[in-house]
Amino acid sequence: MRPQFRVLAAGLAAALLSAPLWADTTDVKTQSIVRVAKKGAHCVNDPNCINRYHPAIPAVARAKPGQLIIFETRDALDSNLNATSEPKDVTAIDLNLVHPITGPVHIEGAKRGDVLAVTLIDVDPDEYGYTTVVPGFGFLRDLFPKPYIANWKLNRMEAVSDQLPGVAIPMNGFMGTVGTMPGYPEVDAWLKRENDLGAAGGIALPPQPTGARPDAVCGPNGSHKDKCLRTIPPRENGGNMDIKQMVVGTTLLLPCYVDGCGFFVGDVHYAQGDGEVAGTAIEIGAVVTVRTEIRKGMASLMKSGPHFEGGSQLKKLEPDRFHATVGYPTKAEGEIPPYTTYLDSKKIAPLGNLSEDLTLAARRSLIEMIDWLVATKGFSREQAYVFTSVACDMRIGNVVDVPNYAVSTICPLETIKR
Amino acid sequence: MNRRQAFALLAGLVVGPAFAHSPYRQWAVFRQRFLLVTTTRDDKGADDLGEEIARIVLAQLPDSRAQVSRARDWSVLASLLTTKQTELAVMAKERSAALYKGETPYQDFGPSPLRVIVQTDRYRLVCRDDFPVHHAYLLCEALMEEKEVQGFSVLGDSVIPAHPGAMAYMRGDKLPPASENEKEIRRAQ
Repeated sequence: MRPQFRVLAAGLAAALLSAPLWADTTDVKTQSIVRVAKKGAHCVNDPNCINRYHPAIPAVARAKPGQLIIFETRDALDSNLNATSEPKDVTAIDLNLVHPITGPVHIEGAKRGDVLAVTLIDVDPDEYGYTTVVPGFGFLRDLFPKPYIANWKLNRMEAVSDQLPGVAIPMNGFMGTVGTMPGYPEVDAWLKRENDLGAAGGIALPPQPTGARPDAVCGPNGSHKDKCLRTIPPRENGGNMDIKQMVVGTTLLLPCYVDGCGFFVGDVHYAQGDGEVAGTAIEIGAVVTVRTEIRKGMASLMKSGPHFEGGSQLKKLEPDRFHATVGYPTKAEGEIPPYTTYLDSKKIAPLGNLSEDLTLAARRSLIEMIDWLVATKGFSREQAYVFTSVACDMRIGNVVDVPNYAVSTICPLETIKR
Repeated sequence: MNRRQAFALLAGLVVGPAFAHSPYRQWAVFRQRFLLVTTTRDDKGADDLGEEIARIVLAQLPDSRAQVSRARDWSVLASLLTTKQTELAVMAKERSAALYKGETPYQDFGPSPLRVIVQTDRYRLVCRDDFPVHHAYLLCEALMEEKEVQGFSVLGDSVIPAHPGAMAYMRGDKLPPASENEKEIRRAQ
């Protein structure tokens, strides 16, 4: 073969082996879509909406692995908040209605013990979002006792708010709540541990039939009204995890506890900082597109909670410029951190230092950042708190340097144009 | 302690016992410290009256920290009241009567033991029957200071009973003492 033909043949072979131009796109041409639509103004009117977990909740749709599933979702509070909402609108939040979620969807072929791999394809946000300070709720609930709301105007690029002039938050949407339905053993085990915690004075949320959906299973006259799990805590089945790295392109691995998995989605966040410190992100309704795959028998690898995986998505979340603070588990003598009050510890109060306490380190780091934003950027304290909730990341520096484990709060400066 | 001070931490005194071991504790922190007058976005008249009530109570009893809390709609308001997430609400007369009787559209909430503190020709300020007598008396007293301006009255409602504390004020009785439970909480503050 002449040299020039050898080069041509080699190039052709390489192209055939590597170029996506030659990929088989048959599946794309023939794929079908399962759409789980939103109906009515609120969850109570929507047969495709639930706000409790229980294996007796029937699926509202079926999908094959590989099919695109489109979920039309509601905001976390099932609210009618809008661009004119005021602080007094956030003090009457009904805990019974948190969180409305869309589904569940039966994934054909999935069995208990399998893993459902869910790849997030797209998040199409509503045009409005909100971030609230709900009194009594949030990481610094003791320091921010007044209600506050930032109303956001959104597109697929960025969010702006009259309440935070000069701030533009880029979209990094993800599913705040996403998971699979628990089985009967999980319901019993999780209810027991949460009841035990509540009995010890901790914060736990037992079943509440008022406002529960679906009414036939979880409502006041429902078949399992005393066993339907609340959606506020995330658990081994996923749920309200609020993890910002689960963005478009990542794949979430969820254990299946019931045949068909009972897959659900809701509570989409337009953007959020690691920690979601004020208690809310930029909360939105959205249209979410995912594709699922079954990984047989892999659920045994997930005892603590879901896993997730991806590639370069995390790079997009990194700031161009940042300012960061560092906190250690130190405190004023006499202070009892709010998250330890239920332990009634007489030893904690007089100490000026706690050991190996990441929560206290995070608290110190965050307060330092809020003070810095107020001093250097002209924010009010409420504005700074909301900003950190939607834009700043709390990260663990070390969990070895006793007693002062370190937590950083990292704020992207390019989002502040003031 | 004078009457203005007697309202200090009223909401805490009311909500505290109910939420001592409650799942709603995080939300209840605020609701313990502020007297919330709950209204709804879908009834502007109720919201406007709620603002007036909060203003009057705050002026008369500043330690109550009274302010309006505005629910999404009538169903959320009913849920908040009946699941002890709020204590006071301004409701149109026909709506409060329906909730009291558990009639449409409130049949899911069942008959609810509401009591009236004050009312106007269109609205009632209602609470549950476990609202302390001591506090209902003080609220009624504060609001009736402006009965001519606002058209407040207590008696004469044949649908929902008046709260015993409001009744006591209208009869000219002395301020009922705080309950032992309330005193215990006050000592603990």
